[in-house]
Amino acid sequence: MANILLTTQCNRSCPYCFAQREMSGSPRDNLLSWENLIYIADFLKASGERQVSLLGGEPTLHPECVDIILYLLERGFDVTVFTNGILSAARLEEFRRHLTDIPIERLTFTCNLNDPVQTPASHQEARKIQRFLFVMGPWTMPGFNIYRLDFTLDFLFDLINRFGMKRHLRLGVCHPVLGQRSGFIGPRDMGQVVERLYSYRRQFDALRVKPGLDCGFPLCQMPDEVLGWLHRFPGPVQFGCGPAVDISPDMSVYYCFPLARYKRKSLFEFDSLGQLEDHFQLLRHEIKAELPGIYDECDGCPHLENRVCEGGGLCHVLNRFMDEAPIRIPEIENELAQNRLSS
Amino acid sequence: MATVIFKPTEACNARCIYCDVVQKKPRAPVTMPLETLELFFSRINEFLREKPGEEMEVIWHGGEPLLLGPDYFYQAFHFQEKHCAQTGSRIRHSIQSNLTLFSREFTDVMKKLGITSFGTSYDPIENLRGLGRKRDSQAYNRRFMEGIRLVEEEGFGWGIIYVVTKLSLAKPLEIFRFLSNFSPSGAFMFNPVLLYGRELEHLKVTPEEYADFLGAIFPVWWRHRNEFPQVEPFSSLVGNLLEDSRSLMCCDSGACAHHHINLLADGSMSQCGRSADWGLLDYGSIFDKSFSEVLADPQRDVLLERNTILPETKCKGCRFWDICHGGCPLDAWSASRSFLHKSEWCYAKKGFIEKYFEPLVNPCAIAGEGWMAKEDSPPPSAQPRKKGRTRKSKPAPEKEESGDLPWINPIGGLGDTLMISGVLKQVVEKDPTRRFNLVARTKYRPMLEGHPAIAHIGHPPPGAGFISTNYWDHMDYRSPGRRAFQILARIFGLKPVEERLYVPWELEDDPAFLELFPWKSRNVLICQSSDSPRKQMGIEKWEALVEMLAGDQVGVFQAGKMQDRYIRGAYSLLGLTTPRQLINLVRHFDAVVTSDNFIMHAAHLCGTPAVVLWGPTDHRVYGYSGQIHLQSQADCEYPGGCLGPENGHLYQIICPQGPAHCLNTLPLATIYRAVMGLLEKP
Amino acid sequence: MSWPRIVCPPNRSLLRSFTERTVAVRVAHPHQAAQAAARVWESGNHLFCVIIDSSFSLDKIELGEDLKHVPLAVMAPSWGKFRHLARRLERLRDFNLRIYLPGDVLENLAGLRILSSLGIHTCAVLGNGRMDWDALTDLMTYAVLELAPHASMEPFSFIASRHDPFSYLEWGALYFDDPKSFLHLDAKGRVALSAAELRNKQFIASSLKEIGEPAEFPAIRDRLQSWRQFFVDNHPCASCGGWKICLGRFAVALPENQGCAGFFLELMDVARQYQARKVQAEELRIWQP
Repeated sequence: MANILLTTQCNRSCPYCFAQREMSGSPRDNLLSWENLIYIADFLKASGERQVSLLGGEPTLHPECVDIILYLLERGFDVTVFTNGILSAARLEEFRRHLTDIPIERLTFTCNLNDPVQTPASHQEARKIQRFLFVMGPWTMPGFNIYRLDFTLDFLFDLINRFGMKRHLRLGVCHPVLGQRSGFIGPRDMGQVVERLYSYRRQFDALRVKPGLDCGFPLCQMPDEVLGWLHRFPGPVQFGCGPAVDISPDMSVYYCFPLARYKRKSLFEFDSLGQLEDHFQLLRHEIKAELPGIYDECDGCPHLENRVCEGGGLCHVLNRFMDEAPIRIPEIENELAQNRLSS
Repeated sequence: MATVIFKPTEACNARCIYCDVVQKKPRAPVTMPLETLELFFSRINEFLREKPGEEMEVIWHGGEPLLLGPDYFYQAFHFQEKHCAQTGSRIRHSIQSNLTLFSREFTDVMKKLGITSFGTSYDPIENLRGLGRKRDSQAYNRRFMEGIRLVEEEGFGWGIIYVVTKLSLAKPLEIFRFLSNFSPSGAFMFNPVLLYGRELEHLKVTPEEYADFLGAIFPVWWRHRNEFPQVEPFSSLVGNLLEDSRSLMCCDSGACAHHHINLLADGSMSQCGRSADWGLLDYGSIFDKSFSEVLADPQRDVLLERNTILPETKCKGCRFWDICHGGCPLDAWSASRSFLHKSEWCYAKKGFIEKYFEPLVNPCAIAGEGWMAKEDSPPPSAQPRKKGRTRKSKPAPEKEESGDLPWINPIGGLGDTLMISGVLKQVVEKDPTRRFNLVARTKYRPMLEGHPAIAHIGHPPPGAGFISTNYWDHMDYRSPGRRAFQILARIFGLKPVEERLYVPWELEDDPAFLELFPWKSRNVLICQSSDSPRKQMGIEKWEALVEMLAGDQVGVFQAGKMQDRYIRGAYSLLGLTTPRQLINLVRHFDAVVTSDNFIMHAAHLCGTPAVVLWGPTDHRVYGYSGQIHLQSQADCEYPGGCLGPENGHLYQIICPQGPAHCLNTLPLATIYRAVMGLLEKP
Repeated sequence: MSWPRIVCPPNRSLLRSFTERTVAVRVAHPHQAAQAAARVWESGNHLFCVIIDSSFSLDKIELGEDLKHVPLAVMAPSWGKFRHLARRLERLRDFNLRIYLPGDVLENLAGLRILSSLGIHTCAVLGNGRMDWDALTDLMTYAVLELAPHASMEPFSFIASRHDPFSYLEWGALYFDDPKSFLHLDAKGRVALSAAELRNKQFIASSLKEIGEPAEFPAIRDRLQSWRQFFVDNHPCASCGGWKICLGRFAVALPENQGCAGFFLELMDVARQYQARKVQAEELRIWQP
């Protein structure tokens, strides 16, 4: 699946945001043009893709967000929009008028929600989110980014029920961003995150909410009990690491947000998604040839060899390289040098 | 083919500024009388009857031949029918006209004469060509365009001669596009203006200027030459120089002496228009002489002599003689007053070819040798360098800070890891205080963790000092008798050492695992896989070997990675073992058959006898004594083996020899006998 | 030269004043289109298409079911907003329809691309040449070379498939502006050579009957030969690399706007690539019995 950034503007400031650096480096009016969107759509269609995600910044800030969603649906894509739910009244009205008759299976909003206590929003923002959920709840699944070990999920279950949201909670872990000093959950804390997540099992089960793990969770931090529980939900349980294939408004393409500055290319350099994926595979292969994963134990791990687990996030591996002497292969060192200079 | 430049009139309705006909005093008669016209065709018939294999080309010229009116042409046709009844099929008519007087009344007679196209001339630059004394170029242009329209509507073709003057020099591409736009399916030709004396100095061009004019146009034409109509001189240069077809203008053929006659209205004959104007090469009158006599006139001898004299004198050694022959003799005479000189336009052709034509068409042209046509090629593409194993490491930064242990930067595969391990073991045996750190890198940790020489495996801080294990980069690698193990030892400061391998863990069995295997009394472990596809023998050969061994009741087990190709007949252990587990397992086999890979080293470590198959690498560099080494000889561009520091890029590339790959040339019987020899040893 | 098609208003009496002609009728509103088509059929003439010259944006134009079998040329000043068009796309694809949008408005260039990508045939109206030629070049490249399936976009598709380096290409017929293919009549039957000349009352005849043999009619003949004047006058267009496709169409925009030359040169290059690709595809086809 490809992620299309409609804009780099955002109307929220989350403490854990790993897109900050990428967003701050872009011009204010960085909006995806129709020409580029059509190019991307053609590119993906020719490669047999059926799913796209729309991101940002905050994608709903794009003035033609509704038109873009409708266009992609018309092109035959299933669309997921990652949003913070903070929409203006006018924009929400557009959504209500034009999107509420789209079948739920074709359109999904992943609404990234912050803990009202740990990361409180302003009153105005909170109201906007509520209004958004009121209108678009059935199309929406909640998303939550884990950036501290004492996270809570209770408020999410409440919202799911109150607004008839999809019963799937997308859980992401904050990762290090290459060249950016920001907080993230380190490899040694992953076990604690899993433990805390599992402590909500009762709620997940009772309310039939599926915990959807985003990238970067390592298999070895999952006790068998947790693994068994996860496998009882529909859909596969994956311990992968991308590529996410993020396409920015200026048609840059990169492996994922934390690696936005690493081996960044232009989409125009590729003739197909397959070629692009080959490029990313090579990128991953180069890094994996240096370090297989985020733990020492990843080296020789049969689950990694069998690709059941990817050994955690590549961003963690590259982050280790940032602090060491330049001893890795030139392909890696040259890229890291650019980030060291500009970080 | 004999050619008559036939000028039945030198009168013209136009006053083109550079036209020599317009400049000179008109002769009498202004128009060829009908009697003379009739005699002309009689002479043609006479000539063609004398020369049964010959043809006659009649180029209607002038002045402006259409001034004669359609009736004159009908008369000509009538005379041809009358006098050339038997020879008329060997007469070819063509015509040069400014087309300002063309009308539909000419259509029928032109077609009767077999004329299918008109040669014409045009210039969009104002005031060079024009009608009447005042040289009205607007009127000329309108009438010309109308003439072209009619010519096209009446089904005739047309081609333009463009005369290059000084006024043209500033806009070569503009003129080229004008002509090619105007004549999308026609043809046009660039000729330099020919002016003599001091008049019209402001229009004259030098040979260099003319060459540069052509040179500005040529790249554009060349890039899309398939789309542009025939453009001279480019098309014929391509034909003559690249395609081996010979098609030369009269001025380049060196043969005008054999063919050309210029005939004026008064019946006088000479070599060509200029010779008539300059009183040269006067061959007499049509009333007195036949064409055969004129073509045999001894005055022509001097023109023929050029072909023998010029190659020895002025044109000696010129690469372009065959397509030039010293140029037009009249050009030569105008500059030097001698026919035995080359044309003053020599540089125009030679300079154009050398400065513009050759660099674009054939950058590697070698003087005097045959021409090779070179297609337009895309710019050199930035092909990514194929990556082999990364053998080269960056130069080590500054030495370690005092108190810090040096960092080993491990390079290479698992086999290299075992060698490093063995060397390091001997380092600490010699000096128990020596320690190193090891840069964390995939696949080294499981093999080296706990090694007595390794204090820490991790990430070196900035400024750390390194020891690279890349023996390919070591200067000793190029010495004869080199051994990879010994070079590694030298890297760590050891003198020649015993080639002992080492692992920092106790070799132990996993009974539950071993119990699963169908052991026989004799068991062989085979491994086809390697880091490089070049070190792999063909599957068919392996399968044949397995079949032979199985026939002798030998248990054959195949180890390797999950993605390795399974060898039929072997018991598959593919993907079931980590490298450590594989080392543990090797001890349980009676023999190992493999290529230059990790298993070879593991067999040596465990003391398991091995047959090792070699091809792209040399057993003398890597193989251990005590093992049986079967070295194939490469029959390719790498007789000494294709994998080495100079050819790192080949590491991941499959050998293009395919079935003829060196490893596939090892005789199966030899391999089998070697294995059986090991198995039958007490 | 065969008889040109007639472009005229759907007046009954006018249509009955000639017969056996191929006619394109011009209306201002979609709801007039079906009736206009019917009148052509009733008059004994052949219907070429109905031209809907709307002043509304495309997203506000409704086409009735009765137009499903009528060839339509819908001319709109803009395409509007996708959100309003989205619901009607499925239906639009069912019509025998080409959408014309002015190419000198940047939003319309996006609209043309969007519609084409969704399977709707379009045509960029190039007007008098004062436009963003770079953006148009981009659109043209998409229209001709983009491999993803999309509907034709004129005049690019037409030019790319028919460009012959050895002859001129006249594509005015796409806009009903080629005297060889179309003559324009007003309600009184007066004849003009183009829609613009009709608007400016520049008539060449007071009725079709005066025309006789079109190839011989002086005004038509002169117009067909008028390109030669560029060469007579040594106009800059005569020396332009794009001449064989442009034929001086945008001479009026010179000298302020010279982007046309670059555009047409690029178009010729793209046409070459397109045709080479077609040849290659033909060669790769499996043999046919």
